[in-house]
Amino acid sequence: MDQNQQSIFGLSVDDSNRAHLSEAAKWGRFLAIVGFVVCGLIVLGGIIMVLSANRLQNEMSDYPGYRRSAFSVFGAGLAFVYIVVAVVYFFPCLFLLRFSNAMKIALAGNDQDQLTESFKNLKVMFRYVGIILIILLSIYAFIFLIAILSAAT
Amino acid sequence: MDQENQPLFGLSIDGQAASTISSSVQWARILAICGIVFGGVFVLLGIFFKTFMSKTMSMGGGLESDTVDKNAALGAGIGMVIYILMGALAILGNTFLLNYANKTSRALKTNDSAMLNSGFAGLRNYCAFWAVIMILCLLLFLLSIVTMGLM
Repeated sequence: MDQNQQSIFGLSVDDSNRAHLSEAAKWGRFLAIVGFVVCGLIVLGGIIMVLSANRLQNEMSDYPGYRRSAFSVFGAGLAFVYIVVAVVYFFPCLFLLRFSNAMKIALAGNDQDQLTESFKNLKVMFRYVGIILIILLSIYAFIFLIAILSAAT
Repeated sequence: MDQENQPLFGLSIDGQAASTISSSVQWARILAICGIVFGGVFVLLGIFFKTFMSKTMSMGGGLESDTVDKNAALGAGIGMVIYILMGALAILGNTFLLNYANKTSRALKTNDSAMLNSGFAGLRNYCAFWAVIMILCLLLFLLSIVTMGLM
């Protein structure tokens, strides 16, 4: 490795790094804000689904053999899934926004603590998404296993 | 701002920041590898999607009319393109993340400033890539709403 690329005091954030980090923070901020809007839309979608299920329930109540509880459970289940998805999606957006804001402050004011804070939030975001991915893969593996076992018996 | 927070020679990657970045890089690598694998699976699904659909249709054995066949073939073609496009986008986006992970990790191990620069460029590309994809998705969403409104 070329010796002149190494700083005497370790790695430093030079102008080029600053430009990259600043741009990453700008795009990150945009992604986070759009993510919050999408979270809101998901919750709104859940509310619309529940209202539609309730309206359908009222319209179907005249039919013979109609079970009221089925629609209530369906609507509540749907709303629960939508809200869970929105909550799960909310946190990585929050960490990304914190990363972007802290990075902006760090770069503007040469604030070492904010730089560390910014990278900490980036780490938390990646860790969060990684854990969610592991959980989802485990659920898929579990479903796959159950499907194979039920097909074998 | 507190004067203590300002290093004499500008910002630097100190021990705490290095350990945080190192940890973030490990998770980023896992995410990138999973994303690339999923992208590959999507591309494969896209390739096999059309074959699967044409086999399913041929099992119907002349029950369908020519119009139905053509529509189904068109649907299978569109499905194939969507799967391959999604897979390609996932592979491309996560390649940037993998670049960030690998280069930053190497930079922290060898104190290589140029490598750190490439690593941060990877992070910037990753954020910019998904932001552009997000903008395109929002435009498509708006377009579909406007189209539904006009119909």
